[in-house]
Amino acid sequence: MFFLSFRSIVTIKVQLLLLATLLVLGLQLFTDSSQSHWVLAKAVASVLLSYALMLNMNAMTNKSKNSPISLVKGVVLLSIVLILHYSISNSLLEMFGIPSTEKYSGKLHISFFSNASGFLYSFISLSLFTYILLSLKELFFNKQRKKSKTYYFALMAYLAVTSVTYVFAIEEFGTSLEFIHIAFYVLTIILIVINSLRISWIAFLSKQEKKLVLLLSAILIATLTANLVLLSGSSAARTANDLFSPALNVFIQLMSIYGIIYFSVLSFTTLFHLPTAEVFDKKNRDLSLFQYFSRLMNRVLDFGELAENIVETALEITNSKAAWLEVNENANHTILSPNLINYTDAVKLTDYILNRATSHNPGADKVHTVPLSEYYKTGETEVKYKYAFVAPLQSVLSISGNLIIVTTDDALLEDDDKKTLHTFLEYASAALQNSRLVKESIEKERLEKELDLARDLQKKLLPAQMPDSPQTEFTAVFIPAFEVGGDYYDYFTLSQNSLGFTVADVSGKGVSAAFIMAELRGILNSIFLQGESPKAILVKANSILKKTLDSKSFITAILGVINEETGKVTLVRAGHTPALLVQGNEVKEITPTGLGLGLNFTKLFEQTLQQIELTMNKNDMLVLFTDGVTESQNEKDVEFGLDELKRIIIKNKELPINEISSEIIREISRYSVGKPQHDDITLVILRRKV
Amino acid sequence: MSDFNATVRPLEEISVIDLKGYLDAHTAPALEDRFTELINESKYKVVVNFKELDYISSAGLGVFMAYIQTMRSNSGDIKLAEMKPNVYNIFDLLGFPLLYDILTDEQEAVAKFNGNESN
Repeated sequence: MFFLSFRSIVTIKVQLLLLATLLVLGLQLFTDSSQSHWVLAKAVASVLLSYALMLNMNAMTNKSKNSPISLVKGVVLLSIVLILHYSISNSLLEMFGIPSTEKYSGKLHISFFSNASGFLYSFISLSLFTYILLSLKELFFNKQRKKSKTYYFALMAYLAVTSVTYVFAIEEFGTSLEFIHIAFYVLTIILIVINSLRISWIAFLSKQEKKLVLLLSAILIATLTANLVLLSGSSAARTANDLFSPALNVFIQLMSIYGIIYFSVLSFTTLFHLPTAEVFDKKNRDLSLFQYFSRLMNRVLDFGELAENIVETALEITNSKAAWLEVNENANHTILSPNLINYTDAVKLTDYILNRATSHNPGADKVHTVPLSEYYKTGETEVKYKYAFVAPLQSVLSISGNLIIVTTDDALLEDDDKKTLHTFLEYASAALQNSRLVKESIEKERLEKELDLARDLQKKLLPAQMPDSPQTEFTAVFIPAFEVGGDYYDYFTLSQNSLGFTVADVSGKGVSAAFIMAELRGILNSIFLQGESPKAILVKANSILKKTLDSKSFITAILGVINEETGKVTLVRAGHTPALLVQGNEVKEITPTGLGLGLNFTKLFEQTLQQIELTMNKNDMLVLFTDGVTESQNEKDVEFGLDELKRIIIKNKELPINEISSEIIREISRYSVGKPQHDDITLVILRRKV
Repeated sequence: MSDFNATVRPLEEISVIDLKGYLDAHTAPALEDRFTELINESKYKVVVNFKELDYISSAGLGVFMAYIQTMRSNSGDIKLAEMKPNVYNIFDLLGFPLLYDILTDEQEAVAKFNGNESN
């Protein structure tokens, strides 16, 4: 039970570590260190232990693999701990009876307790160095693009082999294989040098960070050298390590050398990078600004907010005093987002600067430099500026303009800054265009909704059905255009034998036309029922409409009253298309004089409005319509026309009137195929049944 | 299709506006601009030459209505001349001939201004 839970909690890595530790401990305590094969076993076991340690500690260094600075800091800390560990342990170990030796000796008589304390010391040393090795591994792989794994793993292998083959170099064992160790030692050093030359991450640090790296490297070179010196002399610590495994001393030696070489190369590289660090910093900053801005571009769709961000970013790129945008859109010239300058000053300076800028010849980066000294001979601003820099926006679609930057010192913009600014403005222009497009599509949607509303309003105000009279048939067709005109038709039951009707057309389109139409409906409904004559009705309507109609709007209308008993029709026409009276095969245009409503509000309107009377006999038809019918165009922009309308009426005059009107509409749509309907179509037909 | 042009041609005291193409809701602002400019320059005697105008919509008609009052109250006028039959028909149906001088010839329109002056 216990065993099971133990296995499930402890991972393979930890099990391996425990096993290796026990193996090394066992070998140290219970084997004869004068026997070369036992010592070799110890060496191999210690390599295994180091490997197990690496497996277990890998996660610790790996988590900071993207921040080389913190890795270096960690190594510095460990190297200091190592020195302390050595100084404290060395005297303790001597107290515990471990003698100081200068070279390996397997014939020492060490008590069990001393041996165990020596093990503890060496185990900690090994762990610390393994940790340093792992840190160096992460540094090695940081920002390394090429496949350099081979070199690294070769170094690991050689470190292990060199450490183990030290056993052959121990004098006491008298083997003649020392050259093997020496050969591996040399090769390891070569690999260390090769691996230390591959440092790419240093270039990505800021100047501040580079200075820190330089300092840390200096500390490390000192501590690691100290460590190397301390362990190469005779000391109890050294003896302890030999007892643990003679390979450990070699490993520590090589690791110290690795560290010293690596950090020396690092210092030199950093030193070389230091003078260019500032430029690099700036590039980095520009880059992150760009990144910030492109993120922004995708989020911010408001033109104004975008303009503010563009100006802010430009200020940061150029490190200047004040900036603003001058934008031309559809011949509108505006100053946007003045930053660190008041609006009035920006306006004052813009004209002057733009005039000068166009007379200058800019470089390839298209950034103009304009000295402002001339300006201040006559003009003034709150803050006195020395130079202005003008960078044009890329004009696509309808937007063009300039970014204007002003400075108070004598420094001109560097070529690099100009280039960056130019590139930045390419992005910025695209973003501005984008926000406009989005706005336009939103606007379009809004407009479409508005048109829907107007269409709805218009339909609700039209009669749901035509009157049902025994003497006269009525039919009406209304087809709204996409852009909604202000067509209106209606009928009014005045008395038992008298019926009023009207067709009208409000000039203009959209909601405003729909509203005027609604008002006209209200006016006619109230006046009609007072039983006045058609002429009196329109005269009154005209004077009431004076308040509503602006100077550009008017209404055309045709309005009549039919006496159901006699078939007598009283009719007035106010600027409207003629009514058609169909008698037999003859179609008469009924065009009494009359001004459109809203054209004139004097007596002239009444004076010129002619009221006529006509009589409709059995099967006579009166056709009323709006100009949407006759002005429907074909693909060649030719209008349908009145003659064609007359022809169709005559041709179909025997049909029921609703079929006549459908036939007319069918002919119109056939005629205007491929051409959008741009005006409402209204058609009302009356036919006498008696 | 909706090509439209309105150009001002000074003729002594009188300004002649030559219209060309289609005058509708979309092109009307261009003509409005011409009228506004003339008013700003205190030129109130205007002859509009329709010779090359092919089409006029209700929004186009509105332009003349909008400025006639200003011209007349400054002892000027807008006189319309040389309309094609289809264009005249639209003015006619609305009753414009009752309110405006519509003449077949530009010279006639100019003469009418000068005649008024000599009165």
